[in-house]
Amino acid sequence: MAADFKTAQPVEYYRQFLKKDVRPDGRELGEIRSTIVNIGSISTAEGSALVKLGNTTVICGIKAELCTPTNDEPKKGFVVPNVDLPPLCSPRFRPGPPSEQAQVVSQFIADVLKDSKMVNHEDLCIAEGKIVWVLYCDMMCLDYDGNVIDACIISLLAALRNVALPSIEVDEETAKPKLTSSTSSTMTVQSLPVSTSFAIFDNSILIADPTNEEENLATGVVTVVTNECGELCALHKPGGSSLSESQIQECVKRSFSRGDEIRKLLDETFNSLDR
Amino acid sequence: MPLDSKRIPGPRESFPVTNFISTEKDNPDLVNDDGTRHDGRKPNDIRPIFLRCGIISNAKGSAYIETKDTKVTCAVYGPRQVVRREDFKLTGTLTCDFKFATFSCQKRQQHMQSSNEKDLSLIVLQAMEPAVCLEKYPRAQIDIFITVLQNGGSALSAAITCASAALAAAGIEMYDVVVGCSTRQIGNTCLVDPAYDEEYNSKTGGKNNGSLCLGLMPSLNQVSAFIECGELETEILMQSIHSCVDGCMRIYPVVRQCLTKSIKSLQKHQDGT
Amino acid sequence: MLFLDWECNCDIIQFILLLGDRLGRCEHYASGNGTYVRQQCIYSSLAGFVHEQENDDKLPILNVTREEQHTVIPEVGSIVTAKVTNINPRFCKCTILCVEDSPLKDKFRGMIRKDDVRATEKDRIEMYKCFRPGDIILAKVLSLGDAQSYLLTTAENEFGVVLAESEAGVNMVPISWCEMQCPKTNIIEFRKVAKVQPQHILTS
Repeated sequence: MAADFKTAQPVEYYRQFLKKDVRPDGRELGEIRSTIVNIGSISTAEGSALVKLGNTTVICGIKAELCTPTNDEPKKGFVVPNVDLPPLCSPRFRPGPPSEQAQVVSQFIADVLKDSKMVNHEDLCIAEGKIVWVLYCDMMCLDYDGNVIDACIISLLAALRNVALPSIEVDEETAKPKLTSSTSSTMTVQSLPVSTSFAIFDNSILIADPTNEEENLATGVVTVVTNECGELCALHKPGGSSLSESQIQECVKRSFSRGDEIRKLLDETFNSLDR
Repeated sequence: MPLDSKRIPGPRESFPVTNFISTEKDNPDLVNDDGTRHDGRKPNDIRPIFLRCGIISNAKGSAYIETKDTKVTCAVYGPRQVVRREDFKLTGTLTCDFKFATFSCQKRQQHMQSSNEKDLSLIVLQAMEPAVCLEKYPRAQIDIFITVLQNGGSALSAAITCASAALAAAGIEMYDVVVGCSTRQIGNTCLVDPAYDEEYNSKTGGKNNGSLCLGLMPSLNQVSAFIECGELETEILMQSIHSCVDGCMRIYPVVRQCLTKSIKSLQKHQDGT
Repeated sequence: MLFLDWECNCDIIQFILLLGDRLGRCEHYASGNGTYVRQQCIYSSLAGFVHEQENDDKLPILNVTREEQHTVIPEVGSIVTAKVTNINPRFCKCTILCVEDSPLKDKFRGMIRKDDVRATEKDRIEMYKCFRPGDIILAKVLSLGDAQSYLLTTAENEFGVVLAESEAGVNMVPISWCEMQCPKTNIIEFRKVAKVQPQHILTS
C-alpha cells in the first residue's frame, strides 16, 4: 500500500513524513547520510579515492601526464577536473556524450577548484616554459542516489591529497624529461573546501543531503562550499524557489560544521594509512 | 583530436610519463627459474577472487569483482522498453557497454569509447546472449553496463563473470551463468589468469605465443565465448583450452557462493520489513 | 541450514537454487515459472527458491521464485496503474507505473485510444472529458501494441480515473460515473471514473 501511494502521489507521500519532521529513510531534516572514504585503492592512478555518501558512490582517479605550459603562464601546470555520470550509475542516464547535469557539475567543481586555490599550479612546474604536470582528475559516479556534488568534492579533495608524483627533471643534453629518483613526492593541497547541499521542498522546507528521490521532488537546491579557515568559498543556487536570508544563514552554518566533520574524517583516514 | 566542448578542456596535448621513462622489467621472462611467476603464483594458479552482488542501489542487478589488481563493476538495468524504434524485436534485446575508466590503465584512457572497448562490448554481449532466456522478455531491452576501474590483467574474463553475476542478481532468467577465464601461452608454459604484465602483446614474437579467453556455462558444460590471439599449434591450443576450462571450474564455486549469499541477504531484507 | 527447514503452506519446502541447477526429470514433475526443460530434465533459470506445487492428478509443478517481486513487464490482460501524460482528441498517452500490485522500476509507455475509453456510447466520447494530464488511472492491457507503447483499455466499470487533482490542487471526490468534485472549491470536473473494486483495496 505504501509503495502504491508513493508511486502515485510522491509529493503527498513526502509531505506526510515532513509534517512529523522526519524523512522516509528515517533521517531528520538536517541529517546527512553516513560518509565513508577509501583512499588510494586504484594503483594505476597517481591518486585515487572512493567516497560513499549513503548509497551515492563516487570514485575519483587522478592521472598525471606531462605537457608544455602556455606562453602566458610558463610556470603553471594544469588541473583538469571532469565529472562523469555514466549510464551504469542510474537508469536516468543514457549512453552518449556527457549529460547536461554532468556538464554543470564538472563546471561547478572546476570553479571551486580554481577559486578556492586548492592546488598551487606552480607546484606542478618541472621546467619553466618547457614542461609541467597536468593532473586529469576524473570523478566517476558509480551509484547515483542524489547529492553527487558533495560526494565529488570530497573524493576530489581526498584523491588530490593522495597524489604521488614521480620526481622528474629535464635532461640538459637531450632536453627530454628523465626520472631523477625512484621516490615519489606527495603534493600539498593548499585549501580544503567541502560542500554541503540542501534541497528545498514545497518552497519552504530545507533538507540536507537530498537523495535522488528528494532531488526529483525538490523545488530548488542550494550548495554551500566552505574551507578550513571558516571562509565561504562558493554558494550555488541555480534558480528554483526563493529562500529567506535566515535560511541561507542556516545553510552556511550547517555547512561549516559539516566541513569540519569531513576534514576530520579525511585526516583520520590519512593517519590510519600512514601507520 | 576534435575539441570536446562538453567537458572541461585540458592542455592541447600531453604525454604519459612512461613515454620518457622506461618501465621495462629486469627480468623479461614471465616465469622465474623455480617455476613461479613474478607475483609468486604457480603457472596454473588463479588470483584470489572477491565477488559481490548488489552494490549499486539503483540498478536492477549489479556485481563487483576484484582479482587482486583487476577491479570491475557491472550494472544491469531492465527489462525496459526499447528506446529506438529500429531496435524493436519480438524477443528481448540485450545490450552491453564496456568502458575502461580513464584512470584504470597505465596510460590514461579517453572518455569516448574506443574501438577496442566497442570490440570488448560485443564480445561480452555475445558471451551473455546464449545464456539469457531472451524469449521470456518480449519487446523489452536489458542493458549491461561494465566499467573497469583498474585493469590489472584479464579484465575481459573478469567482466564476463561479473556481468553474468549481475544478470543473475537482477533476476533475469538464464539457462546458466557464464564464467570467464583467460590464459596466456608462452612456449609450453600456460599461465592461467594472467596479470597485466603477463598479458599477450604482439611485440614478443616467437612460436606458441598467444592468449585466449573463454566463457563457460558450467552446468550445461557449453562454451559461449572463445577469443584467441597469437599463434598457437593445435595441440598446444587444446591444452590451453583445457587449462582455461579448468580455471573456469575453479571460479564457478565463487560465483555460486556469491549468488547464494545475495539471495540470503535478500530474504533477510524481506523479513526485516 | 536455515532454509532447508523453512516451511510454509505445509507441503511446500523451499531451498536455494541457482540457475542451471537440475531440479528433476520431466516424468516426475512439470516445468513451472523460473525453470526450463532440456533433454527431459527440468533446470532452474533463476537464482531463488524452489517450490513444489500440487497439481491435482497431474504431475506436480516445480516453480523457482525469488523473494523480491518477480521481474514484471506488462502482459496482455494484466491490470496496470498509469499516469496520464498527454491527451489529444484521438488518444491519450500515459506512463505505466505499476503492473498488478508491483511497482515498476523502469517506466513503460501506454496508450488509450478513443474507442477503448468506455464500453457504451463510443461515438460520443470526448477525450478531454475523460482524462486530464496527471490523473492516476487503472486500466487493462489490451495488446502489446506497437514498438512505442502498449495499448490499454478502460472500457469496464472498474477501470478509469482513480486519483485526480482539481485545478486548486486538491484530490477530487468521485460523484458519478463521469464527474468528480473538488472538496475545496466544489467545482465539478468531468472524468471517466473507475468504480474501485473492494477486493482490490489493500489495507496496510
